[in-house]
Amino acid sequence: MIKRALGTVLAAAALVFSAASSEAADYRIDAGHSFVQFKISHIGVSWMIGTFENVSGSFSFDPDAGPEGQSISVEIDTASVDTNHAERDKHLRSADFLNVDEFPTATFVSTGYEGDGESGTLTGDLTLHGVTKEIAIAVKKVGEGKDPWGGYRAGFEGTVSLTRSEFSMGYNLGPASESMELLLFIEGIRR
Amino acid sequence: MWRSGAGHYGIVASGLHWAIALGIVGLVGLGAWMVGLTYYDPWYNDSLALHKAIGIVVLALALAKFSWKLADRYPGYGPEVKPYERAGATAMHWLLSALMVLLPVTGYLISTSEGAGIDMFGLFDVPAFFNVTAETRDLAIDIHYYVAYGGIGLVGLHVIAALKHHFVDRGSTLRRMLIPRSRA
Repeated sequence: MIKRALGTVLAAAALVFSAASSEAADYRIDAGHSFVQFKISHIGVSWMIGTFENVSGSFSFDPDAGPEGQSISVEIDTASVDTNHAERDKHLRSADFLNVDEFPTATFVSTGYEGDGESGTLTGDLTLHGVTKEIAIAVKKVGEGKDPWGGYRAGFEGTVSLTRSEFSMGYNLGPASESMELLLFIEGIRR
Repeated sequence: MWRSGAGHYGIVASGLHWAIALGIVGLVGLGAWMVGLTYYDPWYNDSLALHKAIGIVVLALALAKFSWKLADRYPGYGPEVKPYERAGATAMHWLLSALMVLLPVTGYLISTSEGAGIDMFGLFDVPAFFNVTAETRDLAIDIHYYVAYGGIGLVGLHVIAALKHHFVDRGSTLRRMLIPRSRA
């Protein structure tokens, strides 16, 4: 009788604990250590790198929970685009490209994950320039662990190739520059 | 011959008038065309370089025109130009004079706002004399845009008035500008 009661308590405790641990798998994106960059060919001779400075959002990373335990939601301030050249940034913010007045925010919300705790493919909806499209991002864990200030962090990198015209940003930059690589470096602090 | 006199223009005044007219109308056309070019167009960079250099030439011509006007004699209006038309014409001439300065100066400020000078057809550079802020630059862009397209409207009215004096009033207003030193 006592044993059974104890068993129930333990089971309940385990349930509470697992609930607590899945809650502990929620991370807030650390904007200062997260980078959303893009790499696009410059007339086929070199690369042009751009960064979106303002990135926010959250993710769940719980390797034990299987594909259902992994998800992410990211918001990007499109006006924060920076390519090391003020004139170009202004052009990128204009209606020729990002049209930031009309579409100030780009978002990515994951819908599924295939892979393990180290690497995999994250699928989800990217909304950019008012167009929502499903994309598949190849992701890889960079590392996780305690930081020196009492928190717990995890970091990931991901890449995906985007065709500009699919997001209605087909402005002619030459045949070498029709698609671009999105480079994601996302670090989160566990809540 | 060089200078104007009562009822006629000299070669310098007439020449400057037509050179500036051609320059400004050409630059508005060039400007309207070049802003539609995409990055990969062969003219994407050269059209702008040409626009800047010609703009500096127009500014120099405008300053020469104003200086010359101080030294030149005033031909006066032809007898066919009615008093109220004279008032309108004088106002128009002031507006067009303002435009001749405002367009190249704002263009210059826009072009040199990042510290680079203006390459004059590969011959020499006009340096950046002022250090304007991004806000001033954006204001200069707006002024340049509205004065350019608004200016074409003014030029249109100016042309219509000249044609009216020629074909309707059958006066010498247009002829004396076209052919310097032709008497009224």
